[in-house]
Amino acid sequence: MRMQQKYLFISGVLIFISLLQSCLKDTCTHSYSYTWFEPVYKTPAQVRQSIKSGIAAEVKVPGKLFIKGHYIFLNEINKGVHIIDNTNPAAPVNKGFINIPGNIDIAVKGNILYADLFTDLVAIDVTDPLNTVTKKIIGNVFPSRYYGFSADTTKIIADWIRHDTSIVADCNRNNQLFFNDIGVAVPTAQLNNNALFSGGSPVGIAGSMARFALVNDYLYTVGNAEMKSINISAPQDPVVVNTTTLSWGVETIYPFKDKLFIGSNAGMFIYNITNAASPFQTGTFSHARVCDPVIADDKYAYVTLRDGSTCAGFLNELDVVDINNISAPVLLKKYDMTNPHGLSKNGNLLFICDGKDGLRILDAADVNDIKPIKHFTGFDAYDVIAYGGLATVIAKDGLYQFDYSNLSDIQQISKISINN
Amino acid sequence: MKYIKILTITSLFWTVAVGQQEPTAARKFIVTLQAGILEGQTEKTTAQLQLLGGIKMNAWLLSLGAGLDYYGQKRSIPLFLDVKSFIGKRKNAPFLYAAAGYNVSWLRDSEKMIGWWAAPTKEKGGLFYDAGAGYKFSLKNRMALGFSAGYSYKEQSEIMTPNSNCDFCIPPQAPPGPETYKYQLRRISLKLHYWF
Repeated sequence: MRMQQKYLFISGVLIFISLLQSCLKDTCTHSYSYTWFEPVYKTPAQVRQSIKSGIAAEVKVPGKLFIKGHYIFLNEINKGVHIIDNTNPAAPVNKGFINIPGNIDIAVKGNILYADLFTDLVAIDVTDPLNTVTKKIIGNVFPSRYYGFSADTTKIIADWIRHDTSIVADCNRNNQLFFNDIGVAVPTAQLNNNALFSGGSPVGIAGSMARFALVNDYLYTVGNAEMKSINISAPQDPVVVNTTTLSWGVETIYPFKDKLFIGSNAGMFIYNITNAASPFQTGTFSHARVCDPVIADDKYAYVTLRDGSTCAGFLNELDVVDINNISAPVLLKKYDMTNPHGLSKNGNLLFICDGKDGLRILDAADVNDIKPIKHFTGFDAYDVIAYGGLATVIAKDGLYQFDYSNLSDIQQISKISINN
Repeated sequence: MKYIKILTITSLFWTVAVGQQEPTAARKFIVTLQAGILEGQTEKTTAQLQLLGGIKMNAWLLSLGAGLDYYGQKRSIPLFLDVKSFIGKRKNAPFLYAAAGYNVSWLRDSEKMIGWWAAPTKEKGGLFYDAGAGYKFSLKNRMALGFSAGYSYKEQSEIMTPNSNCDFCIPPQAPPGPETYKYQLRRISLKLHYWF
């Protein structure tokens, strides 16, 4: 190629490159799916009239578990309570459903089921679980049960209509969504004065609004920043006798002998209930945070820590803590786990729901050398109650029951599937 | 990911070794080392490095290549097929090139999106292509040097899955889906070439 043509070629390339300036645009797109819920309102009178048992309903979104006699009471989050006849654990029967709008927590003493109904506490006689009778409703027991937007306070949100949507937006845009007072998601740019609730990117609103603990003749409930002491010596006639102010961000309560462990964002607080009506703080338990399930026996506390929780932890382990001196607990030993959640203890047997790694049954006779006995996999387990040779496990896909009466031959004996 | 990197590095070393074993007279296997810069909308001028092994047939050079691309603060390894066409029969000649393939994402920890509310970020690759023109200067022993300018594109994504620990959500529980951040990066590619 001649020199002239060479320079022409090079010039042509440079000119072409300069023309490309307009094509040099780096883009970033942010895509995600989002679910928002539109509230369905009813009057308080309508809601209270609807508190009754009826035919069995499918288990879709299970919550708390409570076992009383041969019945399993299984919360359906925000909907009510499933009644499962467990006379034959190998063949449990979903018998009925008690419709309780806004229900999250439950406790049963004798024949009385205590449940939260949004801001109210309701006492229901379940002597005949298929024909329950509402005995008492106490209003405003859980005043912090709110949704963050200016809902119609003369009505109760009895249900939610789900809407699924996908969003593709520029990464640099503020993609937060806010909900107005009818629960409709609107982009930030169209925020109106009534919008009080931030949906953010697709992260749900975490945190329960009620937690129950039964200790003798008292039911203790925690809300966002307070604890109610409710006298249930007359089970059908619960009476709120005291309100204790707590730190903000309270979410869990666990009874231990004459103490209550109160979990909050600021840590785990210990309350003395020697005077049952008036709990008072005696110390802190720094070995567990609000997201860390904890149980205890006479000598030790067993705490599971996991990553992926709203507490943003990085560890997956079981911690054994010496609590002989409850004011000065001592961490004894750690055991690696996969992603441990709820746990239960019966005698020397420790049951750990290890997330996607199923259920672990351990021999905790020597806490310094906890040994595995059996490991059930194939399900995502997150809570367990073990009592009398029967372990009842809530997993993502169902309610499992395991017979551990013979330790050399622990068997799964039943499963109620969840349809979600 | 680890195995892709091992395979890539092994292939490149094999390419150089084989290329050096070819008899000089009948040499058709060509190794190309390309290094340069990438300029685009982002503020920093970033580096690129590529190693190709290919076969020359008349005025065409068909190669397989792998590179290191640091553009956009999103490091990656482009794997591509490269075609070069040398114009004219002279030893020093202009050429056109085009390359296309898959951009393997290989983010450094400092480049990753991290959210306390999400599981560890996953990476995903995407399309890569580069096209332009240049000029080759022949050296002794069939080696050559050259330079080129072109337009380059790469894409890659990060996927974050929010933690779903909404045990008692208000409103009702709705496990969040994954969030995808897709980067499409367009830049000018200036390179020096060394053929041997």
